Amino acid sequence: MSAGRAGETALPIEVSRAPGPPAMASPAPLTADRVAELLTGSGLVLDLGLARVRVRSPLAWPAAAQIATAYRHFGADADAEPGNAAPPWADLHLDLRPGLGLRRWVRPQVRLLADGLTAFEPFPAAQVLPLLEWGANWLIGRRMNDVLLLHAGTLARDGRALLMPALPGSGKSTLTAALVTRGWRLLSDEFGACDPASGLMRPCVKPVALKNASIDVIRRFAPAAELGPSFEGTRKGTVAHLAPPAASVAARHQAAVPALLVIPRWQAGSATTLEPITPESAFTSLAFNAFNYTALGATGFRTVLGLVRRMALWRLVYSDLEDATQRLDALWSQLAADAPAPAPTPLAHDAAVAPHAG
Amino acid sequence: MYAAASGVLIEPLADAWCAFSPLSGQTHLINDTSVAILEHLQAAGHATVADLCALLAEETGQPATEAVEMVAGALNTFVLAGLARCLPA
Repeated sequence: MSAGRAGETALPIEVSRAPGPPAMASPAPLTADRVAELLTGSGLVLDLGLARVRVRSPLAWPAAAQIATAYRHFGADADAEPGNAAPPWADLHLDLRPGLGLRRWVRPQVRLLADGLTAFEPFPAAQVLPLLEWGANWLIGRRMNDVLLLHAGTLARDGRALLMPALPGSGKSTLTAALVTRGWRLLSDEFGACDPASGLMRPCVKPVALKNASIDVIRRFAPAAELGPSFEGTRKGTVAHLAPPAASVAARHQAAVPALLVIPRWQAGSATTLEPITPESAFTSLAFNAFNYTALGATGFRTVLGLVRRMALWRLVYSDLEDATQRLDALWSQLAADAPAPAPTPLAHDAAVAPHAG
Repeated sequence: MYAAASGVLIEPLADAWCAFSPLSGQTHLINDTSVAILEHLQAAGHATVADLCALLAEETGQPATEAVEMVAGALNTFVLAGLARCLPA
């Protein structure tokens, strides 16, 4: 985070933001009209918990409608309200621009600038949201080096975190989405962000990106899931986004104690197997699936070691999502019975917001 | 003559040990014998292959001459991994 951590502190985590107002307790709903107004004005600042991302664009449509659907439970930040002279603070900056030359009008394209630099090839103009999501993830993965960033689905219950590190294609996002629809708090489907000072998992709440067959799997698994439109023909096939539940968004500054590590692997036709793994295997998996393990040096080493030592360590192989979620719920209940729930751990700058247990 | 690389971290992990080298940025799972060699290098500052063989012989009861090949090979591996340095003679 560019604002920097206040220091190596004990609980609760202290995060400095300069300048930064307290988050709104009851944010105004994020409507498409409001998103359009902010995109074309001072910028839409999305507070993800781990980072605040400012998005600007002269392309109000279809960007506004797509963003408003996926981020429906986020409020536009108070400091972006009209009449507030202070510019909204943001850690990361994204700009959505029209295509260059003829591609502005003929088969129009949209370009993404990350902190002023072009990081991706242009996308078709109708695919604003997938481009924005990939761009934001890319930028978070490159910049947020005050935390150990694992490629992992991360959820919480009762203040404790379930961490699922995995390679792409392992069913991580599908499993994360399924658990979210069953009441788990979403911290992230992409980032397991561990604060080295406290050892706690920090939320980075964004829409869950589902790809190809996973989209219909989740529609069948949870018909009431708040899934946005499907974007066909992207570079990763068809993509749809599950909006984070309001409770997860409200708790995006609530850290969670790492409790259970599960390395998931979807395997067609397999029976569900859930088995313990060795600490050595868990260490290797975490270090391998970290975006910035090498960049953090000794801090990354100590943080991974701390995670391995404090979590229960398991591997899940599955093909039946219903069975897998039930087995995880049962394991979680068994582990929770052996350990009392930890105290809520709000971040210091959010102390005014009512704590929300995951 | 060999010395430990500076800043190497060695931590127990279940039945093995983890060693991190700030020099290479690499992490390695190592066994008890490797830890004995690295900790001796850290404590003594430097040591020769013969010194380390004598140390292992004392700890294991095996003749020092039987450990030469293993110790020399381990030290070469440690140097490549950034866990140890080869000092000029």
